[in-house]
Amino acid sequence: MDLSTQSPCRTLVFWRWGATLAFGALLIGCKREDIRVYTVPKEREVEMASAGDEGEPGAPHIHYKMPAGWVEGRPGGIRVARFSVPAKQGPEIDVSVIPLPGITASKADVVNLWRDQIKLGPIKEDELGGIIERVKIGSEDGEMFDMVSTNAMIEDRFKARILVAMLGQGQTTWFFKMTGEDESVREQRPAFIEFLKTVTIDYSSHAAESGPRVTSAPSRPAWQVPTHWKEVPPSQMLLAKFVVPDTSQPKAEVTVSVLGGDGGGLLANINRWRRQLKLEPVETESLGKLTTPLDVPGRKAILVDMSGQNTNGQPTRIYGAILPEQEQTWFYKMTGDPQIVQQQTNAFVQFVQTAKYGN
Amino acid sequence: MDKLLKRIIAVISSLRLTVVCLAIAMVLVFVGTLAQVDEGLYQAQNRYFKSLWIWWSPGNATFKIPVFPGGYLVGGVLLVNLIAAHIKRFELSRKKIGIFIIHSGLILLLLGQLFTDLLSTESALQFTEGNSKAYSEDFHANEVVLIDQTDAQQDRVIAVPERLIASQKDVTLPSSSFNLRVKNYWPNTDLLKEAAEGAVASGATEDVGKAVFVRSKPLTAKMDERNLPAAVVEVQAGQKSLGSWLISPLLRKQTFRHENKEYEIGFRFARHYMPFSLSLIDAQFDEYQGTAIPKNYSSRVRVENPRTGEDRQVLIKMNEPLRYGGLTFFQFQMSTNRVGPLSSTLQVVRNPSWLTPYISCVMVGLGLMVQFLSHLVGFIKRRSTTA
Repeated sequence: MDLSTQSPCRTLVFWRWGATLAFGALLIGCKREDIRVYTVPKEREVEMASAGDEGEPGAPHIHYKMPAGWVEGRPGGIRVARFSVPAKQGPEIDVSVIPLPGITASKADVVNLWRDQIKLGPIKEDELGGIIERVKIGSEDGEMFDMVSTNAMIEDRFKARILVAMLGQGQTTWFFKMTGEDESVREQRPAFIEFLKTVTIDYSSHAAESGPRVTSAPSRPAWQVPTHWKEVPPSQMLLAKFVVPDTSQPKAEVTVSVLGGDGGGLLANINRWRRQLKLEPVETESLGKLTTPLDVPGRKAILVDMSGQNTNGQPTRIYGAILPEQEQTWFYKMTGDPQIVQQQTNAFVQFVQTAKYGN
Repeated sequence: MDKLLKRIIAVISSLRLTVVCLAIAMVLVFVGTLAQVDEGLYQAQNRYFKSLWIWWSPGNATFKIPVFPGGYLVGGVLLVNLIAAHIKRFELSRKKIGIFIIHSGLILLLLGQLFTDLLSTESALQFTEGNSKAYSEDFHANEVVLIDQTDAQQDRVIAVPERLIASQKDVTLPSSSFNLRVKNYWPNTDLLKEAAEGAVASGATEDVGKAVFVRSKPLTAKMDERNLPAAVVEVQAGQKSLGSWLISPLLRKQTFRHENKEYEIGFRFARHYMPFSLSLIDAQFDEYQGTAIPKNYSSRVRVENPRTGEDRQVLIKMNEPLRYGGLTFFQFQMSTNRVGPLSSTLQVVRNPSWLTPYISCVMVGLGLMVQFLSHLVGFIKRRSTTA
């Protein structure tokens, strides 16, 4: 095309476009940040919208002195207090205070639940002595366990550490649990121990006149207990205990307990029962073979049936039912001589199916 | 003068220039893509595509020489070339309407990319279940902050970009009686509690930094890492020194008092504040059964906007972002913690020109269709006439 044919008007348009582009190029050069001054509202903890998170008015509560740097969170579910602590690396450290009215397991089993959470192998009851630390929880003597994973568990980069202090009060066991990245939790350990010293558990304003009682704890369901079962006083961690039959030997026993949340998960609990039977733990894929669904009105439960040996080497069978709910999980377990257990399976299933829960 | 101008116009509107630019762009894309292996996405993008020239430094020389045109230069010349050619050859006729639409689409595409680069920001909003945040944090940029915390309701923040700290010059803080004197600066560090090889005492005189050793590290360009700078800054009120603090995103909050006011000083990931807040109500991390392979991440968040009175819950899932307030929130990462509450990270993208590529593609497609159909109709007409 002959350039001489270009009109002056078109040349002007050309310059305009050129100027626009030059301005654009200048903008590129100007994309630099300078000092900013602004005001922002102070950061706050969120008010959770979930209705279930409201603390029950009748729940016990604790008084404490919060260590520097901890941020008080909103307790929810089974927690009566919750804190977050900035971590040196990885996500914030979580500190939760949980009272539980009944736990089926022995102390070793409870510890093994936490060990399982961070993929540590189980330990035996007689090995506990080596890892228990005595701590003061308020004016009382509590026990503390300090566990660290061998593998990276947090964000696949950091080891996880769990610090748990336990204090038994009546039928309630209080758990003070600090969870987070290994090094950060280790750094916060002295603050955690100091925090425990300042704790006072307070039932006074809400408790029944008869004494300490966890009103937020699940109440006993209404059961139709088979006539030949005999109820006996439960141990500290249990909600109820029955023996069947009550006159002959050998016998079987049925225990009922409830744990907060998923109680550590189906796999962890089944493996805990397997350890009690001296059986090797299983992986998730094998759960299907070990469990069968059980119809319970309004709920979905599973039945677990396993046979092994008890600590004395005698043949033992566990026939259990696990009932997960939104905030807690119910554990029904019949343990004993395989023949007695076999005879009682129908009565056990009926017992589980006819339970009527308070909610 | 007029002759010279016409000559310039002839060059910049030539098809030859278009071909040269496209050839250079191909080389640039090839080299820039390979460079991401060593330099990482962010650095390679900046060096090869978001630059006028690619600079190279021979051996250990301190100077740099431009060796190849960068993305901005190639794109800019291509844009000028396209517009120039268009103006020069433009004829408003029915025959060329398709060409006009195609060119307009291409111009819009190039301009859209330019404005995306200029105006878009990408950042991360990380929160744990139960947390609420009204800001996101930049993926790369850091800032030094001095926060007046005296007011019970709000904080007054003075944020200084890292580049001013990196220059290690004194920084006068606007609307404040303080100056910052940068005594030391490290662009990427490890902070240690004990002396170790390669680590130096921080030299701070206040707070936690007094007992910390700083080990400088080479800058990282890896996608899953970021540089963690540290600096020792002396806070001056007029002529008086209030002390020196070691500041780093790795350190906890540090505060000091001056004239009955409480201040926080820190080096943190640069924040982008929003006029609304998001709270993480529930995070879900599903794996394929029996494996650790992620199946689905999702975050149920609560959006609270005090300006509009809005308060609602939204579920953000992979490939189902939330678009709100000119921002797009993508589900980005999820903590794989097996213990404690889950934390979720949303990628927050602000891109005012996000629609331009779509509009451009529609325009180019439309232009091609119009052009093709006009030729087809003409061809059929000619054929029927000759028959």
